[in-house]
Amino acid sequence: MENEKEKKDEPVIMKHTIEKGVSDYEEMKDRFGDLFFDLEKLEPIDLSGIYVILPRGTKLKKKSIIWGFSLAKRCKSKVFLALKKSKSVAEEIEKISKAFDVEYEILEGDISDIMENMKKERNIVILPRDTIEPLKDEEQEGPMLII
Amino acid sequence: MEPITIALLIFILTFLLIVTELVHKTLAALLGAFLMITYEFVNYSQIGGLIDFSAIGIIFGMMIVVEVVKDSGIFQFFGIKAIKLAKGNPKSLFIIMIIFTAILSAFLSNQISILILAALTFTLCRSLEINPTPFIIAESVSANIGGITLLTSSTPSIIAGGAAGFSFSEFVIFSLPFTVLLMFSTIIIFLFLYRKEFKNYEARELGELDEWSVVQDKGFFYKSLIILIFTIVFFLISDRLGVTPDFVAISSAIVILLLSGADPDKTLRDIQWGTIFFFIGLFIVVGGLEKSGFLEIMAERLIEMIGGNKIMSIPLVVGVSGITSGIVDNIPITVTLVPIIRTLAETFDMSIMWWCLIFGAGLGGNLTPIGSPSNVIAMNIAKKEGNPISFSEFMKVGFIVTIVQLSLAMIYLLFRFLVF
Repeated sequence: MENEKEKKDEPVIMKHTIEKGVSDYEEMKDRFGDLFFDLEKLEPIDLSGIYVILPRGTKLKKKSIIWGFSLAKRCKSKVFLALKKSKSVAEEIEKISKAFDVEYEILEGDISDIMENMKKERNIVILPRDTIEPLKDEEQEGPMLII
Repeated sequence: MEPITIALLIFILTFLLIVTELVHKTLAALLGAFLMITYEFVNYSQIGGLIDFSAIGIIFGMMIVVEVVKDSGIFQFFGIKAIKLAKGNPKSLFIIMIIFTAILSAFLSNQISILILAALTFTLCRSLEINPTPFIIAESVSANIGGITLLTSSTPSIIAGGAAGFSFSEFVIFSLPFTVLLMFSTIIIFLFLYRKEFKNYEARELGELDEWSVVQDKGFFYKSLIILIFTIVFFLISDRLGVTPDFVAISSAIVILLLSGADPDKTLRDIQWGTIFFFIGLFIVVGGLEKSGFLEIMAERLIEMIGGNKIMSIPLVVGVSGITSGIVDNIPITVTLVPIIRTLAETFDMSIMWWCLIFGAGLGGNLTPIGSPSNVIAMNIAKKEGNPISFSEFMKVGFIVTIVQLSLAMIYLLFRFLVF
């Protein structure tokens, strides 16, 4: 609370220069996107698990699963999939798991329990972009990652 | 109230608004210009004569060139090439980043150079698990060094160099030896100040960095490279061809628009018109102050102070322009000091006065984190990246570096004045 107050009271000079500079910086970082990803690949983050949460109705199911396995492979961790299990989905996941040689577990419990478990360790969550209302219409590829 | 007092008050108000950015600095400059016109320090027929269209031409032309070329990924490409030279060694990486920042900011504005380098720096430092603070401060300092290398490198160089009538080649011949000296001295100072940090770092594999990953269109990349080389060569031979730097900048902009296939509407929309109108407003405000007689009085006082001792004028002008630029943005400082320097240069018949202003205003920005817009941006990016650099942390290094750099500038200018 105090920190917030301090932040608000902090005098901001050159507000416009700062705003423009920071937004241009974001643009510049996008430019390096692929390269930064390569760098991260070389130094994998130490993660306990990759949680792929797939709400019903997402059209990015397969893409999100592949992202999850690909990241888990890079970080040498396990994939946890929170989804409605069906025979075809289970077969698909098994195939991907074998291709990536990464362990997985399908979680079918309550989503709030899954979230609680997830917070206990250093994990990463993958959410399909089309299930997040403000990001739904963005053309950008790839799911959404929340650490 | 005396007219001279009113003009001075308008100038101070404009300056305060620019420095604090309580309103956008373009609006602040235009408001100041409006007040100068309202109080009849400047009338409409005089406006054209007050604006340095040559400087505006260079800024406008180079903005178009950079706007088109930056999308080719060329600057990022060479950034990655430079990083690969370090082979994951933090100390080598640090030295390379300092040199590369100076080179980059010689061709681009200091702000764009910092944006590119900061984006690379934070990621690299995270990968190498090293502290990014010395890198960011050194890059800010180095961007200001690059800004005094070429006539087109930074706005103070364009304005003061243009007012002095320097050609592009004349400028680079004079400044290049000094910027090389500055760069090496800066590297030594930083390595000394951060010696404990660098001692603990070990080289780490950065792996296969692919510089082509930032290039989306190889054809456009090569075209941009050729156009950039052509522009530099054109600048270098411009005095032999009898053309001015603003002509070169604008013709390069036209050529790049023709050859690149870039949409002129989009390019013209994307360039920083605010900056151009900021300069127009600023030229009118300073023109009004000049017409009120205030700047003449200031110049006379300076001449009296210097007396017959011409040599004294060099450290004095370097010091004044350097310290004032360390406290406020160096662009308005340069525009304000140009009429005073012109009087000094003519009175003492010393064209070296212009260099005192260029070096002083260019390097003084390193004194504090608010000394130049690129410093302000770098500090805020650092904060955003979760690695805030405090005012005092910057000052601890910036103060030492600026004092050394300004002293070197004085020595170099005295040497040039006495020997050549």
